[in-house]
Amino acid sequence: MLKIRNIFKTKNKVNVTISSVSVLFFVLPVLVWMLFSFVPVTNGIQHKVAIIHPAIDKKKPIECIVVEVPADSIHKKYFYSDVDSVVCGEDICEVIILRMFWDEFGQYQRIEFKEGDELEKAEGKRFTKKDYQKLEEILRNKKSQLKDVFKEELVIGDVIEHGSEDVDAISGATSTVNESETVVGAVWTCFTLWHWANGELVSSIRNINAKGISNQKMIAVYLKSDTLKAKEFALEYLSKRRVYDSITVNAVVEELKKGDYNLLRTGLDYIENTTDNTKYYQMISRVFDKGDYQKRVACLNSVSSLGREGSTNFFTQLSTQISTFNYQEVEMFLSIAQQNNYSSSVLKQELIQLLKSENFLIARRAYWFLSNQENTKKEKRKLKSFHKKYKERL
Amino acid sequence: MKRRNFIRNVAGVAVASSILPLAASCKSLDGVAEEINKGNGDDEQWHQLGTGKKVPNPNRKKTVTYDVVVVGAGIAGISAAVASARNGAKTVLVNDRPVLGGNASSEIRVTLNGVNRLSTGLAERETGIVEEMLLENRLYNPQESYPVWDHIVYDYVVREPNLTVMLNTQAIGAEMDGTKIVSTRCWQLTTETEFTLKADVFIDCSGDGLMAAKAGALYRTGREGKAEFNESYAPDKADGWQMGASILLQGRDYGKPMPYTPPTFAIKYDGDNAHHERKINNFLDGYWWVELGSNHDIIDVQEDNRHDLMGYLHGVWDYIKNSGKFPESENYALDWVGSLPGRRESRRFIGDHILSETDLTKHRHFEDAIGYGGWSLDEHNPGGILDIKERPSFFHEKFKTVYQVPFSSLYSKNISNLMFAGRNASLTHIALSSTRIQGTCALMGQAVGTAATICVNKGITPREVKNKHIKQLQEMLMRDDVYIPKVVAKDSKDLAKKASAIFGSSTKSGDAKNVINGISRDIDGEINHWQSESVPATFQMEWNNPIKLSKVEIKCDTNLHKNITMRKQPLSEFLKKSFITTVPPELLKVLDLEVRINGSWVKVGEKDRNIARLIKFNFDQVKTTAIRINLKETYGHSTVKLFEVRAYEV
Ligand SMILES: Cc1cc2nc3c(=O)[nH]c(=O)nc-3n(C[C@H](O)[C@H](O)[C@H](O)COP(=O)(O)OP(=O)(O)OC[C@H]3O[C@@H](n4cnc5c(N)ncnc54)[C@H](O)[C@@H]3O)c2cc1C
Repeated sequence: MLKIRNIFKTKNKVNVTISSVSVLFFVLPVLVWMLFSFVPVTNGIQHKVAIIHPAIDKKKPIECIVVEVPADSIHKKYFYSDVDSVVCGEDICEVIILRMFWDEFGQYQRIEFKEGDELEKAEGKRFTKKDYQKLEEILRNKKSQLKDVFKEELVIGDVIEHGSEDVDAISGATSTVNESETVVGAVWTCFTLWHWANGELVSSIRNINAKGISNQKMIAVYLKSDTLKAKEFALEYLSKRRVYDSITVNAVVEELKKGDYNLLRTGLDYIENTTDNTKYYQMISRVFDKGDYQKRVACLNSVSSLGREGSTNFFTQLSTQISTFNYQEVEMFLSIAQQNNYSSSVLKQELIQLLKSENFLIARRAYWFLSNQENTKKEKRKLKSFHKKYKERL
Repeated sequence: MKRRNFIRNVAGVAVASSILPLAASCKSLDGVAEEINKGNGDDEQWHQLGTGKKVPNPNRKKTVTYDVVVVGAGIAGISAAVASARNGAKTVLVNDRPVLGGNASSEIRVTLNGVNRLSTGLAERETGIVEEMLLENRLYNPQESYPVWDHIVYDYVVREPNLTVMLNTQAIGAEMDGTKIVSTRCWQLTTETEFTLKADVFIDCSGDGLMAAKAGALYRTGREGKAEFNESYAPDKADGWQMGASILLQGRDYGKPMPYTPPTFAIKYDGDNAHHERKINNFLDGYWWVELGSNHDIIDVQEDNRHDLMGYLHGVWDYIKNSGKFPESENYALDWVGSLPGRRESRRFIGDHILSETDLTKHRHFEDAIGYGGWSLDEHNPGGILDIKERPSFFHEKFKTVYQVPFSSLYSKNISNLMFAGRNASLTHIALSSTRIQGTCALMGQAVGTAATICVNKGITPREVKNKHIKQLQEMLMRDDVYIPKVVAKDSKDLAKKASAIFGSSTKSGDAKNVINGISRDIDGEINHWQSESVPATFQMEWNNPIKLSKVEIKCDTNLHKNITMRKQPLSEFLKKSFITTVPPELLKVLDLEVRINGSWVKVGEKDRNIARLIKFNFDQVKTTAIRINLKETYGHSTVKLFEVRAYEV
């Protein structure tokens, strides 16, 4: 990608304006630095997108071009853009253009350089092999501190490094970002590139990619893929598109049943996005059914916090499983049931059994729930004997 | 005060006129209390037109008895007095100024810093009393007004039921019984009254320590030589230098040119030849390096220094406004100028331990640790503003992690019922260069105030607290939300530790059981919290067998890695990384507490505008099997963190 009016400094620090297209053509397939080289691309589709890059402007979007390269027999689909290596706050940095690659989910892959180009650190020193390795780590770290700093905060060109009484200060060369998160002497470069790699371009790429994918393909290829990022991608767009036909719902639920808690977190967005309460409870109870502890708690939280109508079947179904719950689940389930004034003979039967649970907290919780219900004589007898036995512990 | 009791002066000889209390008209001062308020009029001097009577000029005197007397209401003294009162001792706080806060008050306006920035770039903010004040200031004083801050502190202090505050009152003497202080004599300027304050325990947090000195407590001033404590930053030979006092200013942009004419007492400032670290980079808040110390006795020269400091301050402002070097200052004018120098250093009293450089830099472990510090070794240059070619401070060394402060530096070696906290504690000059920061002083204050209550309850001395009851002191402090590095809270009365199940409604990070692990902040790379996925959330504890319960105490999140202190200038983009100017968004605002009785939840407490990290619920004792904390709203954050939950029978 390039900013459309891409003004950058060449090595001899002359401002040059080039068009995005010209950059695409003068790239040469030469290996510049060990692993990196620009590869000629012939079949790319150019997309214009508007994004915010905090190194350029915090509020005003800039226009960029990303190129979508469809899959072929060798490569999966990918995207690339030609970007400035650095947008420098101090006007002293040398800018080169490099090519950055993402996979179809907008996940950063790698960078390539034109022949002869290399990244520079402070005082014109070239990046070492180690620096490039570090840069790779930084760009792959989606949670980097660089995410939340603004360009004004990056370095403070002032005063001595110490916390003086009234002037908390830091030396000009020092970055405010943890040393482990930047290549020393190249904080501007790290900042600029991190935001290219992980910033708003990512969602633009995802949107472009999703546009060409039908719902069927979303399910068949992405939801059913074995990578988490593909599944999450599918869930995100199925949810955005509000696709709730029975085939889709079924496919999603099956995946969520197999998947772990992390997948469920994205999956819950899909489940909760439906306006149909019956569908909501059906999905929740099916996922709950096979869930581990974390997943079950997440489902119960969803039910509890949304408080949607039409929960009776859901509660009844969960009632049959209550003997498999741990104490927290029992407690949460019974609390939600109470909130919703739910009771049933199925639940009561299960709870009577639980009066004998080895886990006394569970037995006591069952007792208390039952004590608040209309009970048969037999049930009353059981409760009475429980009370007698555990009087001191209630 | 009885005649056989005598007031000792600093050197043990007759009191010299130079230490006359404010506005007292003393003729003969042989150390006898009665003399101080005696006049020369006859029996009919005062014609009271209201009553028609002619009576003598009143000789006002009062004797009042407390458990604990705290002298000096800087941050150390306030913390000491509040801790003492809260822990049950009848306490009086005596301050010789009309406002509370010492150097942090509107009279002086020193930024109330703490461990603002370790070398990791992060703050490690102090909790406990000092944080409570800072949080309230953020909520009630968004305009960041210093005079309003005075009143926030005043409110914070006077609302303590066990605490009496005496302003405009100077402690000027001590009456002794052997090595024990029996009472302190005070002069209240505004009521022309001489007070004799009796107590079991005396705490001097006055910075200068007149009362403690009068009691005969050993002290030192000046700089230790390198060898005495093996201090690498100390001078080769001991000398008398004491870091200076400063007068501050605040400027304001009036939006139009504001000419400035210096007063006649201004002293020219040769800014062109000053060291570059004497920065003038803003016109809103200045300038700590306008500083005058002393080579011998800084108390003796205080009034001369005050006059000169006012002159230097105007000299610097004249340089800014009229040298032509700062055209950007054209619209700025002085909005406030101090008249009372803030002091950094004078007497340092001698305790059982003298805290020194290597205790700090080598992170020495003290069995009697009561708090911590972590400001850099920020030793100002000898000479201050008289040596402008020198750096204003040396900032010898920064800390990567916090260091411990021991209790044995906070009580007198030779006066049995005397403690001290703040800048007058038992420290070397180099140690003081770090510990004088107010957050650290506050922790010392909270420790001595708390220790005083142990002394009062058990009828023992501070030294006995150190020798026999230090664990109790540490436990009390930690319960009151003081962090003591490397010390884990193990209060045997805390029923939360015996809970059979602990869980939250959701978990984003940290195990729910972290709330009983005895460490109430994330530190040393370890997570000690439980964090929900979202808000509202609930947090629950259950016991297999019913417990009796009347107190639940929660420590929640205030983001201790950001500073919340009030500053005199807006935050730069850089400082925004480590400072915030609002109530921390992480802080819990709305919550309630339920207990389960006979299977049903019963609400026993709620807070709808909580403003403290340590949230206390006190209620009539109940028999219960579970508690549920409903965490309903924060000041903005979408998750909620708990660091500790405690439960007590009484
Ligand atoms: C200009 C300046 C800048 C500083 N910068 C910082 C900073 O940025 N951050 C920071 O945290 N610290 C800073 N410090 C240091 C800090 O202000 C002090 O070390 C700290 O205030 C000491 O606290 P304290 O409670 O011991 O004493 P003080 O704040 O000095 O308070 C002592 C109180 O006791 C009163 N008093 C004195 N004698 C008597 C008596 N005989 N009877 C009754 N009352 C008495 C005083 O009036 C005062 O109210 C600075 C100091 C100065 C002067």
